[in-house]
Amino acid sequence: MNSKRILIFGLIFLMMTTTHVVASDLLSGIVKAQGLRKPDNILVYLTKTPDQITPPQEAFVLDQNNLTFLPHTLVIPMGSTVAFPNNDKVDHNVFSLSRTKKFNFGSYKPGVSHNVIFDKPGIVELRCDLHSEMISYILVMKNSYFALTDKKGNFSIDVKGLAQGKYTLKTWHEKLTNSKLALELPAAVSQKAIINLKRGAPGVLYK
Amino acid sequence: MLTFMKSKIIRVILIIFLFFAAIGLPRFFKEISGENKTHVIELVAGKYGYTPERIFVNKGDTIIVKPTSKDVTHGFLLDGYPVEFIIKQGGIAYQKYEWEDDAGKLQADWDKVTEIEFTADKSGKFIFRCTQVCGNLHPFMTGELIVAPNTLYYTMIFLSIWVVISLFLWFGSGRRPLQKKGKTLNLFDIIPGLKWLMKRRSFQFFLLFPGFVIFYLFIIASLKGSPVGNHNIAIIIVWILWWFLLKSVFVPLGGRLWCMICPLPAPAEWISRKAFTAVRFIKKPIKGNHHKYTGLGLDWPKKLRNMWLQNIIFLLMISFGIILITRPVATATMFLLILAATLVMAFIFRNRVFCLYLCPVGGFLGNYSMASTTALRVIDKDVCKKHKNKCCLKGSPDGWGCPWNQYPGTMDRNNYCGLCTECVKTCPENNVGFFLRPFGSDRTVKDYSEMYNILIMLVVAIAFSITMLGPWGFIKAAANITESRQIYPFLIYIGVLYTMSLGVFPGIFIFLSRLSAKFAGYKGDVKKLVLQLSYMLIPVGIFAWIAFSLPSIMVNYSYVLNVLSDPLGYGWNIFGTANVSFNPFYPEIVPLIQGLLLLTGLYFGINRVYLSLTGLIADPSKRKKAILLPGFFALAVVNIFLKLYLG
Ligand code: SF4
Ligand code: SF4
Ligand code: SF4
Repeated sequence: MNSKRILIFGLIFLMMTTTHVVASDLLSGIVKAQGLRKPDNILVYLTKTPDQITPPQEAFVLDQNNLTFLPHTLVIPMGSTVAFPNNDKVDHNVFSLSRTKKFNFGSYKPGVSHNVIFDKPGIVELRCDLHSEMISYILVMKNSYFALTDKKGNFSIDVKGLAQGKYTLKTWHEKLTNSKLALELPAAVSQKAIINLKRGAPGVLYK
Repeated sequence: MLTFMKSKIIRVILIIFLFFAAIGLPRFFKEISGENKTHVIELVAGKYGYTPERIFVNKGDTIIVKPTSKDVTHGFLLDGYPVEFIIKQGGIAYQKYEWEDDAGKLQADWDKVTEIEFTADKSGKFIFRCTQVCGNLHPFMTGELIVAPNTLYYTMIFLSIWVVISLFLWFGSGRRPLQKKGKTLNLFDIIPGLKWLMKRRSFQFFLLFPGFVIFYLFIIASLKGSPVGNHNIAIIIVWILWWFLLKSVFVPLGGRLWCMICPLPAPAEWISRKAFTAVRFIKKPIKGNHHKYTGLGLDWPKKLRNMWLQNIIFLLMISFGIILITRPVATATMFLLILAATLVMAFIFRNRVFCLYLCPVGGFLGNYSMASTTALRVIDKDVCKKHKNKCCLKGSPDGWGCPWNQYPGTMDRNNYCGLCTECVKTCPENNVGFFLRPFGSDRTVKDYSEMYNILIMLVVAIAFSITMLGPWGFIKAAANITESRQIYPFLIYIGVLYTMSLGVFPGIFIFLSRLSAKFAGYKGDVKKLVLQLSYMLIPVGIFAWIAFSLPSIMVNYSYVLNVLSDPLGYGWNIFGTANVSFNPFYPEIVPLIQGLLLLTGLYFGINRVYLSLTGLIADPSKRKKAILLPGFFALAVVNIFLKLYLG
């Protein structure tokens, strides 16, 4: 094979790959988890990005209905407000002992709501004094490059506007050990990331 | 000769062809074509059933269960599918999921959910069961998922028809019926030491004594231990283990083998003999017997020398069946009543009058033991004819005269021989043997009380299958009178039970048998023929009862392990098995085994009754006609069971 040919093939290949990067701004992949009923509600997020984020004006809602917090995992940008309405038929009390944000509303009636602003990044575990089986997580993020997996474990993060460079893709779930994956943008956008996770105690979101 | 041969070959080919047709045809019953649907099932669990009781879907359909409980916490464990969850009030459930960790160990956890989704990718009937002890009738709380095409069920229906047709084809070949004269083997000749053992005076005592001790411990456990049935050793061992062994091992093997080791009448017998193992022999016979017993020593009234009282007592006991088997106190009371009855009877009457004429268990044991594969018989009847002393009947210094009032010299059925082995010891001629023989060898039903017992047993097997194994909560509630406290449903329940077992089933059977007597041009004693035909239902009944008892052990064995470690429900753990979790053993193959058992019963029933008629109807083609209609009856009964277990 002569060198000219190799060069042509190389060029075509380069063209193909570069066009691909340009066409998509979604960093997508699939998470496979050992020891979960289904691989949903797993947080996948990028670190080493510039930490700048604008919280939305409107408050997020963490509902209480039918002895359940909804959603089970709520991911919010740092500085966001979350409302905790009691839409159930019985009284609830929502409290957090987490370092990220400590609070306790005490027992309150259906129809009543409380608001909290989450100004520090990290994990907030919510519980209800009256119903020990009620549990939920609020994950407060430093940047907007994150996603939750769907029922099948798929995720995609919009990385538009991120500069070319090296980043780390991390995961968090209350029943899985954390994971880290080094990647380079924009090259990483062209392939689906496959992340295998194991059952175990999770770590923190940010060191 | 040639035509005979030909017809025989053709018949055999036909039988084989029909077999493949029976297996093949149901495969064409495919699911109703169309796309797979999604079924949203609002499943309400409540003591002791689910609504809907039965869920019907097609293979490949998606099922979304939205469970809730209307009273306490219940469970849901589906046979054959990895679907398990706990149901709470307010539509909350905890779904179990399992995974293998890095070390290859199975781990499990529960997720709080409001709905459970799965695909019905296996067809057939699958039972779902409550896993959380929710009350007295918890072990019977079930529901059914039927995934079409239910090929197994249709195959079994076709096979049951095939069994009947094939047998008739075979009989019609005019050749050897299967197993004309059963060969018997004297076990004394085969098993060295068996005869020596049975000749020991203490043989029965040592067999019986462990059971006797356990029995009294059970009574204490019933009264002092946990009042929750499935935490109490007496309930679990008696009604799961013993019942299973009785129906599946003792009855087919030896019928009254159980009576050999039964602890219930033992104290009465010891008292009436004033001895545990010894013999008290007196030279001068009293009423033809060389013994003097404690008590009045009367003879049982002639009019009552049949099974009617047994039938009535059995039906009465069965009316409270579901209560008996779930309440330790009820079980203990029953035992104590039986014990008291044996003592009273032994004081008034001579010999085992309770066993012969009152024991509700003894009744069906006797009838079913006709089919059992062992029998105690004399070796040579002529030796007996010549033997003057008849020690086996009257007693000798070596043993008591038959406590069951049997004379081995002419005994030709197992029914009333309690296998006490006294005659083995008394016979000076060593003329008594213990024989192995083909299943279904004694084939004579002697009176209507016996025939009714056979039909009662059949109806009770159906009734129990519906009440205990079926998914219908309202029937369980009706039977469970002491908890539901509703008298009318209970009266309807037992009313139906009595009408079916004393009226409808015997009525139809007698009617069909009389009709077939006409049909076959039978000129002899019709009553005799009817009784003889009812023999057919003994093998059918035995196998139906095995099919009934099998799931109880395959599904509930964990309770047996639990109570062995924690006999009183006090939280002990003697053998470390107190917390073995409820995990049925291959429950998904239970219907297949049940189906095969039922077919076996049908085969033996029809085949043996055909052989038994030889004495009454000589002409084979007339004999065939005589069993045609009762054969359909047996087929219909088997199909009732198939419907209940597989359909
Ligand atoms: S007849 Fe009843 S009481 Fe008597 S030995 Fe048999 S089972 Fe026991
Ligand atoms: S004692 Fe023996 S030989 Fe005599 S009648 Fe009884 S079984 Fe027959
Ligand atoms: S025939 Fe009588 S003595 Fe002999 S084993 Fe049977 S019950 Fe006992």
